[in-house]
Amino acid sequence: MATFNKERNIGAIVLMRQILYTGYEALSIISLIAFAIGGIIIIEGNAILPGFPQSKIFYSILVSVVTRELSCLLTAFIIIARSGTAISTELGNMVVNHEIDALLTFGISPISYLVVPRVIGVLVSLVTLTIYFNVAAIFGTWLISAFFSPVSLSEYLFFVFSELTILDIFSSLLKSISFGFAVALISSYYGLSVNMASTEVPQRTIKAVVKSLSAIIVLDVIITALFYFSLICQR
Amino acid sequence: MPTININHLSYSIGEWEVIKELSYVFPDSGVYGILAPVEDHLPNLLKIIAGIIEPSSGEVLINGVNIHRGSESDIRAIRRIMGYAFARGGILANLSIVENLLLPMDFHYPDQERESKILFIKSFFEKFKISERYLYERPAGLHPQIAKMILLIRAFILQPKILLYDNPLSDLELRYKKLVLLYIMELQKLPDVLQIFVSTADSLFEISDNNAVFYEGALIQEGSWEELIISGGPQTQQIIREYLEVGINET
Repeated sequence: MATFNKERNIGAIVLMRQILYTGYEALSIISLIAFAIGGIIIIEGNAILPGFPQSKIFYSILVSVVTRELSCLLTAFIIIARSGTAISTELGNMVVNHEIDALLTFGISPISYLVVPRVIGVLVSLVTLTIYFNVAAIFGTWLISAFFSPVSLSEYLFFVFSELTILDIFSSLLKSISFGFAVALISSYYGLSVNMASTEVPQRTIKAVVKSLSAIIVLDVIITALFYFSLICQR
Repeated sequence: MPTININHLSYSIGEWEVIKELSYVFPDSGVYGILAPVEDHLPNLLKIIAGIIEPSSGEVLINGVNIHRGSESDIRAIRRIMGYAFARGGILANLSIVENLLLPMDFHYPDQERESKILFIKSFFEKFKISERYLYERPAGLHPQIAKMILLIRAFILQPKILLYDNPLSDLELRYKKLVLLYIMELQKLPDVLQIFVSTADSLFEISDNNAVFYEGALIQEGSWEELIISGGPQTQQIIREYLEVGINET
């Protein structure tokens, strides 16, 4: 981080580009998925339990499924698909084209110039997109629930927030931070581990995707288990 | 004045010893050629001197600083006085040409004004007769000749005291070759600039002050181009013959 601070002028541009690409440009796909997930919960729930949007269990499911689990996981999946692959491919091609060697000859550390801004960029984007996903899913659910049994937005939000605890928000944030670290570090590692052949680039990218998916699933299980045990201890 | 001391340097790729136990002190200035069969991969020696790759054993001291083990601030100071011209590749694809050239300048001289840096870059474009329209292009769209010239300009841009060239004249047409050679000769006159090159172009050896001949990773002979042609050993003669692609008697 100290080196990154010294190189902040040139690293800041890389960071801004990463946030633009990973965060801003992913907003449309995140909106679509969040709205769709909200809709699916309503439709499926209503099929099993008529009057589902008006029941208390609906808000419990919405918070536990969307806020605690799906928002972090689906956002991470999208970031792996868009940015994880892009990071791994870009860094791999940079190795093959001697761009990393060029940075070394200037005295610029590839870690502080290329990896640190990407890690921060992915981290900031993933946390922001997860929050955005939650907002979009909750709003989408309210819009679609209006087809079954209209509820006023203020009433709907009151029920949602009455189910939402600090622990849920903290769990969601912790997951998105750890997923962001994992995706950016794994993708950067596999990108930089390319040697000299361009044929290695897609192979490393595939490995980066598989390892990133495995890592976030394992992290999700660990964090969920930790929060489950902390809930039991609280009771 | 720059000093480069190489102590007991060895470098292997798997079982293959590319450089064997090399100990050498480069002169403070002048143009210095490294002559070796192409298959010996001697550009690796330049990369080791530049600190891009690590040797298997031994050390490279530049102005007394170990280029692979020195402190961050010491190495940064060395990088400021060192330029490396890649044979090909090495231009950052996601930056425009001007951003590529500004990158080492911004890194080493962050307080200098952007405008003066761009003017300085433009002076190199003028010197090498390259159109300024390329400044704002992306590397992917560049003609290989222009890309090569950008690599050379980037090596020159910090006005370094040590210049390492990996085949600087390859891929260049005659007019650019001439301009690059003239600039290398211009720098040759400076008392504190050391230029080391690996090349397959004999025109560079003709202007070099001294040359080292390597065979199978070992330094076998030293001398000016004329000395090597006239009194080089059989292996040196063989390498020169390969370079010139004509019989040594005809030369």
